[in-house]
Amino acid sequence: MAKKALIADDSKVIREIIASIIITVRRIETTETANGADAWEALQKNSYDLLITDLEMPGMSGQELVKKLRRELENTDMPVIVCTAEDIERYDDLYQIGVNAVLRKPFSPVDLLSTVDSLLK
Amino acid sequence: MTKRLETAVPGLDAILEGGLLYHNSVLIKGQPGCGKTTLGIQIVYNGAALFNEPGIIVLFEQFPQQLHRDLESYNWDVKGMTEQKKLIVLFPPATDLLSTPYMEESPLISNIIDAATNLGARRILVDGMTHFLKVLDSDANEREVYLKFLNALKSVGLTPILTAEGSPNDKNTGYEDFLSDCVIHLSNEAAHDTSFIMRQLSVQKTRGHGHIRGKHPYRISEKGIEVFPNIAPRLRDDSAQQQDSTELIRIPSGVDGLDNMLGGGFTKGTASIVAGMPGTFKTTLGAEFAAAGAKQDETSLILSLNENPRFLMQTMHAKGIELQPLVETGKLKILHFFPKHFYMEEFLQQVEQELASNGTARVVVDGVNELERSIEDPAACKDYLTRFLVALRNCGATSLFIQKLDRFTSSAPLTDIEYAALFDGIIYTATVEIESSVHKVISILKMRGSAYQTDLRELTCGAQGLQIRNKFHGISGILSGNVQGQYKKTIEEVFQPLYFVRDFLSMVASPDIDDAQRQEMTQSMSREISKLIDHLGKYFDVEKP
Repeated sequence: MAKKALIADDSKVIREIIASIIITVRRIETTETANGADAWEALQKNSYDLLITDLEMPGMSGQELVKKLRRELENTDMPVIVCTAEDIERYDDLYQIGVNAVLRKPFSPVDLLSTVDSLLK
Repeated sequence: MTKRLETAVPGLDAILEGGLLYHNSVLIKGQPGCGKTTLGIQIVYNGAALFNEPGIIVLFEQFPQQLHRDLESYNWDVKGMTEQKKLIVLFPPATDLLSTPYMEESPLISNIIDAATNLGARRILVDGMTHFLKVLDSDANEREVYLKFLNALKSVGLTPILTAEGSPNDKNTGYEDFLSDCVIHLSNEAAHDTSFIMRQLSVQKTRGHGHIRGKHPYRISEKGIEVFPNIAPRLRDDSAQQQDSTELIRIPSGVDGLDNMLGGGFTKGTASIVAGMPGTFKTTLGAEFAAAGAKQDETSLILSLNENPRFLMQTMHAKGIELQPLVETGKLKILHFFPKHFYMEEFLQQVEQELASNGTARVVVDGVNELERSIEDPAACKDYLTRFLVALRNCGATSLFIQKLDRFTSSAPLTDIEYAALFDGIIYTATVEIESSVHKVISILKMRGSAYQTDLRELTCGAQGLQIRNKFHGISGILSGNVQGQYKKTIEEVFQPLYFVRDFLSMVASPDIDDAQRQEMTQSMSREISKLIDHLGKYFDVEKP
């Protein structure tokens, strides 16, 4: 059965690019949301194998989303990839809240695929 | 109410709540050159000329030729009045008063009584009291003589007006202050940090009636003294009228994009402030607003405090805003006041008259900084602005006040706009640097009782006047000068698609990919490239790249 990924990013371009990469190359089903709150709603209603999220989004940020996910959802093992344009000095903080991998925008689709592969093994 | 003696000195009767009381003695005190004699003569002359109340003028310190020369600068026909026996001028030596042991029998008193009887005089000015009192020996004696003198004048039905040297700041109050029924102080002091002489009148006391406290500026012109009462504003009760029309009437700003931001324009009768750094089109916005009104047959008024009307018209002409034809039709009026050279009371009085006479619908005040500078006491600026706003509200005008902010403001510009709370609306303009280029931006920070757009828009000005551009999509931190969004946007919408296409191009040739995948990849690359072209077209302002 095909794996399912949830993509949360306020940039439509980014959402579509991520979806194109993982759908066409890995045949992963995707759901796209433009902000943290919609992503949280989707996570509560459906089950996903992977979350790919931006950090800076209107309303609920990526960090808040991940914290809520790790704290409130039962499926806490779901891997989370953060894609961000921000120059984050300490990725450690992200790993501490439960992020599994961080990709800096612009990311290479090859890097995204290898990260997805390693997390969904 | 007891009948009042009207001074007919512009503004003074309002301060005296109707005028003086007959037979009450009036003392006019002040430093040399502040217009004591002028005020005294004006009150007596007005009695004779306007109210058929003959008067007597007693001058201790002047010669007849000197008086006539001095009076030539005023539009008073003293000579005519004396010929008509409505006025008599006496020039006695000061010693006349005391030349006999009984003052009542002195030549001066008897001359005055004769004149009063012959003319039926009601008002008398005795100028130069200080001089006259100097001929006396001691304080006790002075007081007695002064009192007797006043009583002698009152006994023949005169209202005595006396002048004396002194300043309101004098610590020692003289007996003449106590013995007089009404004391008026005149002062002429240099305004703060300027060479502009502030003339101010204040009433120290009025026995038997009220008066408006405080300092009231006055001018001396060919009309004599004109006082500008410093009166607290009273908001006209138009609640009945308001109940009839609950619907907001919109007043177009003259800039389409701004009207959209405002939800259709300014609300009729409101006062808004446009605050921003220099060079952010604030004056232009004011001109657009005034011109838009005049074009649709509303009367507009620009109170220009920093530029003369000709210069304003020229600079606006260069921006495609034609003010001159509107001025010629009479629908637009531009009044120029030079800051620091006018009194706020005088200014407000003129503005109030202007508003009342012309049914002005739109008013632009350019600007608040100049108003501030013309006010001696900075703390009073809020009071004046309040009075100004009440006057505008009473006449139903919609107004824009322009305020220059001196420094680049923080992300909370409201705190920099000192009078924000007084205004219904606040529009903020600024210059910002985004990716090494300078942009003017506009934002609405407040608009009482109306929905408005809060986003920051680019403001441009070309040959067609002001234009509001699109929102700054995805950019944040513009006002704080910490623009980050442009970087993020460029990464996400330019570089990310390029990275995507670069990697997909190499993957598409890979043997691990089947035909269906290959086709999908090609399609998505093509889609991303198209979007990128559109995006770059917009960014570089190329319509169909």
